[in-house]
Parts: sequence; C-alpha cells; structure tokens
Amino acid sequence: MSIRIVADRSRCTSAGNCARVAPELFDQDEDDGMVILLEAEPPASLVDAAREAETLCPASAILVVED
Amino acid sequence: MAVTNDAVTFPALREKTKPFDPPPAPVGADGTPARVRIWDGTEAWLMTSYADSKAVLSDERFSADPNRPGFPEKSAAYQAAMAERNVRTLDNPDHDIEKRMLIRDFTVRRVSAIRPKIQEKVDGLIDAMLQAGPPADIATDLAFPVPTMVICELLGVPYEDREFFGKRANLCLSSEVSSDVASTAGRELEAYLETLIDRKNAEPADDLISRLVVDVMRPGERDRQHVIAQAKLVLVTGHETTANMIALSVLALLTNPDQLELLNSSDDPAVLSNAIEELLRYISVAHTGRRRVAIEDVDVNGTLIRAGEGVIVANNVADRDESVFPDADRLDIRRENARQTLAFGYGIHQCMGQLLSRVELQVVLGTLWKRMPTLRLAVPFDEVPFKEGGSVYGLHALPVEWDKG
Repeated sequence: MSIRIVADRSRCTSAGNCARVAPELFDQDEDDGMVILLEAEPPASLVDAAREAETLCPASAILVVED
Repeated sequence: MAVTNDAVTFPALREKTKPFDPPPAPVGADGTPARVRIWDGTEAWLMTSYADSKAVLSDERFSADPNRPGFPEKSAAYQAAMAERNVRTLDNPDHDIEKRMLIRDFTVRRVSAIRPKIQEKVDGLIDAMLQAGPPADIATDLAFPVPTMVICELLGVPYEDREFFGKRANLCLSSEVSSDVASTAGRELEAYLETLIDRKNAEPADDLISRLVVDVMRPGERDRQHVIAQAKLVLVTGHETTANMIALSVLALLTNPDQLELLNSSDDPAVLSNAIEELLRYISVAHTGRRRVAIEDVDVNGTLIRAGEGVIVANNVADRDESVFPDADRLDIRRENARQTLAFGYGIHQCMGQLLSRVELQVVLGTLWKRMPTLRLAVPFDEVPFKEGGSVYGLHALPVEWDKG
C-alpha cells in the first residue's frame, strides 16, 4: 500500500511535532517554525512515522492519504 | 447559566496516599462533562475524557482569552498577573502571528543545537552533588537549576537574578495568593524586563529578547509593552513546569524500581524518549486544566456548550482515560501510545517549549543514574513534600542519597 502526505501550511501552528517524530519526512522552517514537507510519497518503511506525525499534529495540518 | 446545586468544587485536593494520581474529578452521566464550581464562585464545564478534551482544545470556537466574559480563570493570581495579550491568551489569527515571532528559538533544530550546553550544565550540577554529598536535594540541586539556566540563556536574562524572578514567577502561578500580591509580583517582573529590554536595545546579544527588540520593537511593529509581555510569559512559564517535571520524574522512577530498571537496562534513545512521554502523561504537572470559553454554541460529542460558558479541560484526568491508555494509573515506560499525552495541551496553544522541555528531561534522566547508580530516597516516601497549591504540580524538595564510591 502506498501513501501520500499532505501538509496544510494554512493550518500549521508551528508546534514541530512532525519534525520531531518523522525528521525524514518533515522539517521546520527556521524563521516561522512552519512545516516543510520533505517527502510526499514516503517508502513503506516510513509509513508508520507519517501516521505518527498525523496523529500528533495538534492542528490537524498533516493528512496521510492512502492511494 | 443558573447556579445549580450539584456543581462540585474544582480542583479538589489529591488523595494523600496517591500523590501521582489526579484528584477525584466529577463526571456526568455516561462519562459526559460535569459542571464544576471554581475559586471565584462561577461554574464551568469540566472535560475529563480524552475525546472531549481533544475536541475542545482543537476547536477555535473555544477562546483562550481570559478577558472574555465567562472565562473560567485559574486563580486570582492568574487574573491579576497573567491576563495580558500574549501567545497564551490570544486567539487566531493573532496567536499564530505572535507565535511565529518567538518560535525560532523553540524549533527542533534550534533545540537540538542547545543539547550539548544542557548536557554540560547537567554534568556540572551532578559533579557538584557528588562532591558535596550525600545527601542532596534533587529539586534544588538539579531540577530547578537546569531549566532556569536554559531559559536564562534562551531569553538573555542574567542567571544571577534567578531568585528575584523565580520568586515572582511562583507568585504569578500560585493559587494561594491574593490578586494584590500576584499583581505586584507581575509588575515587578515587568519593570525588571523593561530595564533589561533597554539594555538589549543599547547592546543586542544573541538571545530571544534581543531579537524581539531588533526585529519587531525597533521597526515599530510592536511596542515595548508587547515585548515585555512576551518575555514575561516565557520567563514565568518556562522553568517552573520543567523543573517540577524533572523532580517528579526522578521520584516516580525511584518509586517504580521495575520501570527504572527497564529504563537503565537499555542504551536505546527511543526507550528513554518513550519513557519521557509516559512520565509526561503519568505526572502531568499542569494540573489545573486548560481553560477556555465558548464564543458560540458548540456541540462537544453530544453535550451542548452555550456561547459564553466556561470550559476546563482536565488534561491530567484525560491522560488517565482507560479507553485510550489501558491500565492508565500504572507507569509503563513501554506504553505504545504514551506519545498521545495531553500534558503539553493540544491545538494551537500546545506548549511552545515542549521540545526544549523534552530535551532537558532526556539529558537529566539519561545522565543521572549513569553517574549515581545507587541513587535512592533519603526520607520515607510519605515525607516527600509535594507542592499542590499552584497551577504547576511539583515538589518542594526531593532528598536523596547514594553510596559513596
């Protein structure tokens, strides 16, 4: 199963949880702390990390979509 | 809303025999929110389930602005000293704008860069304890100095002034002082920060206050009062929380030797990291709830909250929700979903210092037992002085001893 990550910067509240739990997939802008999506279509080995970031995002700015 | 007879006073005191468990909290029929009465005699809804708590904290129809009518403020002190406009009290869109001016110092990368400095400080503090003791007081000798030094460095506040601002910060967060006392403490902090801001303006350094001065005050985007309010918030909320979390974590591990053994038998950073999530969930130092007021009628999982009604999210009770965290009253450092803790809150107001706090906990708990493998309590457990009367749960002292090697 492949997944796709959507990071909605209009919802992002700069909490940084995504970059903390899935640094391979997300970074945080150095100036405003907002999400930077590094990998929209992660390999199978990072699916759990992507879902963790989705669960922990306090602003529901990260969505993991199954293709 | 009319005063009803069944509203229970919130928060209650903890049961003496269960200092790590939240105090008893009322729940409505079938687990629905109950009505509680707070310090000023007004009533509010109390959210104790995980689902209701998350629903309220992530819904921006609930305002965090204590100046709105109906807001269920934490205490007289909070009302007097903590109600100004800052990232804690602003709703969106203002909240995100203000937060982005501060967040640079709290990002994952920035916090990782501070880690070696934190390690150095922790090593030095443990060296000093080993030299002077046994015994030692973990609260005074380790738990408080670490976050205080970190926040001083980050903000650019002189560490030598820690007694001055520490005492006043404590008064602002207390539930046991009058509004006059808190308000004086708040004003003294503001005056102190004002002088500091003038010094930074004359000679900017590499710290948060200097950056606010240079980037937003000088160009006239925000006035000095605004910079004072932001700096005060970070200073007041930035050390008491982590300090008590460190002290209580050490105590929780000392009194759960099986969990301590599990923690120390692994060098995997993921084990330590998960243990900290579980300690955050289990201890939850922010123990008087997150406060909100509804700005329109909202249905929260079947309960209608009317516009103007206050809501208290008991995050510490929600973190013991059995439907999310089975056997929730047990400290289990291998708990798989410990990361879902609401200890730092949820929604746009989730704690801005959470990454910093985690790194401080990682360094302290990852170092302490390596240096002091025989660390133990120096007094019986029931003589450990818990600090209950503030918005942050904690310890007045944590007397420990060890075998001198």
